[in-house]
Amino acid sequence: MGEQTETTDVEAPRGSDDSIAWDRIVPLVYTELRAIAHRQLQRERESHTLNTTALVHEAFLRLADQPGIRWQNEAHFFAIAARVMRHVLVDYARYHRAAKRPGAHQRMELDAIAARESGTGAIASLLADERADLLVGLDEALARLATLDERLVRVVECRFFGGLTEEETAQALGVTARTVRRDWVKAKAWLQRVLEE
Amino acid sequence: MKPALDDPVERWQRVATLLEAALEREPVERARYLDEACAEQPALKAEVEALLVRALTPTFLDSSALVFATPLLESGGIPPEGALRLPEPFQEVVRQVTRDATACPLSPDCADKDGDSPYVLERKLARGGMATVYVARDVKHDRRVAVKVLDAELTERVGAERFVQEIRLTARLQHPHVLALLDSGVLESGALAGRPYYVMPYVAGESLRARLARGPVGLGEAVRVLREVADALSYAHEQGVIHRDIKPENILLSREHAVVADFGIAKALVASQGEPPNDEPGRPGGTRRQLSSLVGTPAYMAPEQGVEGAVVDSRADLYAWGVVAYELLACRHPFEQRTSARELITAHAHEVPRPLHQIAPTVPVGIAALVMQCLAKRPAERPRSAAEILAALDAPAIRSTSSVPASSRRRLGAVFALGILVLLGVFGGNAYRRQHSIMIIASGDAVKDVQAIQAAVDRGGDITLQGHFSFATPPKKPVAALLASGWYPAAAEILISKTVIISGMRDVRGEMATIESGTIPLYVDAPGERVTIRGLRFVRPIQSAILVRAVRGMEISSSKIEGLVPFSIGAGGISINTRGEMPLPSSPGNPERVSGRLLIAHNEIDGTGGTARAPTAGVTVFSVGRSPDGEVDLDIIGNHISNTSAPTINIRRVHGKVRVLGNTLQTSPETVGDVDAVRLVNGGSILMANNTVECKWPNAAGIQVFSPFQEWPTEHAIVEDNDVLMSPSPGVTLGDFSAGISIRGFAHGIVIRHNIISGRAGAALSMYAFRGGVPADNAFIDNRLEGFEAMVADIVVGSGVARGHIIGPGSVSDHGTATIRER
Repeated sequence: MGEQTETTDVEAPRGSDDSIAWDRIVPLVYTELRAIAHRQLQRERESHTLNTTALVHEAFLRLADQPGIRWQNEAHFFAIAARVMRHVLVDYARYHRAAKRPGAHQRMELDAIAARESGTGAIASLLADERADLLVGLDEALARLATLDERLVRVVECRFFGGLTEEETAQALGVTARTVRRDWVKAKAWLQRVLEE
Repeated sequence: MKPALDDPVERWQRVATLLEAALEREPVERARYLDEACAEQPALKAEVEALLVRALTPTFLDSSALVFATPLLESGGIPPEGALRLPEPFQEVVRQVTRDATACPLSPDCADKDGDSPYVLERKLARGGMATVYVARDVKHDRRVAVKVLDAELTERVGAERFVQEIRLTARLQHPHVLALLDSGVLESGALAGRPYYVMPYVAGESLRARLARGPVGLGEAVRVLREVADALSYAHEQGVIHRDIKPENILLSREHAVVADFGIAKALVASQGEPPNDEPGRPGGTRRQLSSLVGTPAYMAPEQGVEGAVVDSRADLYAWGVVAYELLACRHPFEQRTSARELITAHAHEVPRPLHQIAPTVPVGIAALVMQCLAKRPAERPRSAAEILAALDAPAIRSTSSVPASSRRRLGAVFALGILVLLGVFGGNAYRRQHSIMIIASGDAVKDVQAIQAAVDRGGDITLQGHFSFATPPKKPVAALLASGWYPAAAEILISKTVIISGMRDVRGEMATIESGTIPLYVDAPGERVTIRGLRFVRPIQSAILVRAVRGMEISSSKIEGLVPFSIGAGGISINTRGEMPLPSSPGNPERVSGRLLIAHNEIDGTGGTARAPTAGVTVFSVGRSPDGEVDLDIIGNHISNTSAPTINIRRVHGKVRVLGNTLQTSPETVGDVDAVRLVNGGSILMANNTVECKWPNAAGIQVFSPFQEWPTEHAIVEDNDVLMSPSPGVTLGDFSAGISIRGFAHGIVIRHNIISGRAGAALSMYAFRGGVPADNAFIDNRLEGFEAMVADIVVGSGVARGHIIGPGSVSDHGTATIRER
């Protein structure tokens, strides 16, 4: 990876909206997610097994092809994309939770809300609720974890949100696979405990 | 209260270092290591231990976020296209949520800082339909309470003071199944200033909604909960308080009992919204109120609640009770097809739900009829009061099983995994258990599949599986601590604890019912129960496809296990194990937990994927049966076990008869070392016959009969008519233990006869002393060697071996005492 001629301004978003990269890739990832959601439904019908890692890679690779955005290298891209995935999924979860609030009832589509109350079934709705709660809880816990050890958060983003392997995570973060493995175990244990609180 | 602590980052680093160091040690050494490393620092130790447990347990984080979020993505709550970037309405909503979230994060700093505030908010418990619930400390009484703070939106709509005034009405309710109102008021300071709140006892437990989400509720439990809710309604109605928002979210379960929350809140909201109430809630039937769209939940609203200006009285609560009862007993909402609030309201008004007894035929007809009566559109057609429901439920006839039509007793219901909850859980009573069969068709969604199968096995009876089930979800069923100590993970996917027959049925394309992935897909801990598993195919199970810890009688047959995924130190296809690790005389496990006939027949286990460091084994049976009253009868018959890197069959410490017959067994070239293709260890009345064994390991026996413990000798085993092929890779140096069939250690009276040994090994047959144990009075009789190449001699008798008896051909290297050689 010697040639850095294509180096551009793409930087890891820092949680603020002012980064160019942030502005560009969030909607892209978002669109991809919608596509994935649809494909998941399709899969349900055909009862195929889903290979998530492949899906995520596919989504990421498609993003990487976007004109106008250039990446220092693939690993760099994956690290950022994983962060975006966290951001988007958590926003999704927040949206879901917000939509369930009665205040929102008034303004949001009443139907969309009730669809979750019955529709495809109360169980699916509960699952969605539970997942939304856990994702938001996880996001909050990650924010706390960042004050203790920022790197653990990056590892969680890559492994969980990005679906990256140990090896890929190591490349993306520029550490050894061994470090990733150890960080991952620690982070999971810590998060699990915080989420149980 | 807060101990003078060091910097949190520093502390975390210490904890993390200790955690890492503990993880790097062998499981058995960890406790001692922490004892030493955290001497005098119990808090630090506890912290590390808490993390250690979790570090060893798979969590949802082991899946990937996308899979995890799939139900969310599919929930229909997809924000409008581009919403994430657009300021409206999504950003607005996000801002709102964020604002609320920051209003009370987990730290108490944000709590009502007012010095003399009677309550200190500790943490957010849940966000309900109209309020947020916090766990708080009641400063004056030093107790935990739940404080519900009305949402900002709602506060704007109702007069805060007015609301507080209205809600006082419920303060007089005192009943075991009514959640008491302790206090109420308006927050005066802090981020939540101006919001009305009310205070209730803190109930440790879960809501009925959460309970339902965990899986179906048994008939007994369901009826008890419904009875208690009816009891609460009956009492409150007599006091003139109508609930108006009965739903699973408002029914809390604590120690198996139901407590109804939020009595009178709905009414207080309505009343405080506009003009003062014009009704006196003196007796049921007296409350007239215009329905507010804010109040009530469409899914549980009585028809009259959806009509402006209609009379809403206590019978609306009876209707809601009926909906909850229907949902609980049928495991589905009466109008689950309706997708919108509007549709729901219309359905409540005009649509007749399917009769409960059709959906849940084993619910006693008396109860089913009562529930349907509550769902009557016209209030006058419902029971007159909650007291009447209560009386009906308490009538002795209503639960009688004879009310179940005979025709519906044997019934094969085919349901999809999601829908299965419909039929399940309802019939928890033993009376129905044996008669009921159910079929579950795979959905492909791990959570649904696991939930559905768990629900079915919890009920017991006959379960037929069809299709491709995914178990790729973190396991939730704890594995007994003794087992989980080293070899096994801390949790499994499905816990089988009742008598059950699980059979796989091929689908139209002829594919076996398949369970893919999952950490120990089936874990059997069913003391005194009989478990049968037939015709299932397991693909890539983690650690074991089936792990058995307690059972009385078991059959595992015609099943297939492929692509075992090692967990920590290995994996095994089928494990019956009451010790967790190798049983020792000092630590035998709980052999009394497994008894009766154990049949493992005609299974295929492919151990491909194991390595020397994380090996795969075939069938393992460790420490089962108790003599003389709880022996086992273990048959391992006609199985095909291949490519394992640990023993194909490993039997240790079995009290009772063991027959290993007609199996085809073959190892992979990889080996964990110091194991044999087949091990028969520590006693049992063993017969191993007519098997074909191929061992590819250079320092192992094809069949090893031995005991390393004087207390547990292996005696009188018979090994006959087996074909043993020793096939280490060409050129590989053979080790001392290399032999076709070997007898070692504390072994007496063993007969090895009529076997055929071929290939290349240290010896075809051998007897060796081991760990102070000297084999004595054992015999090799008429065994044949076919194309066999011995490194030492065809037959080796090690030094000290007593009275070995050899009849038949082959060169002998004899270092024993009083060896008898004939022919």
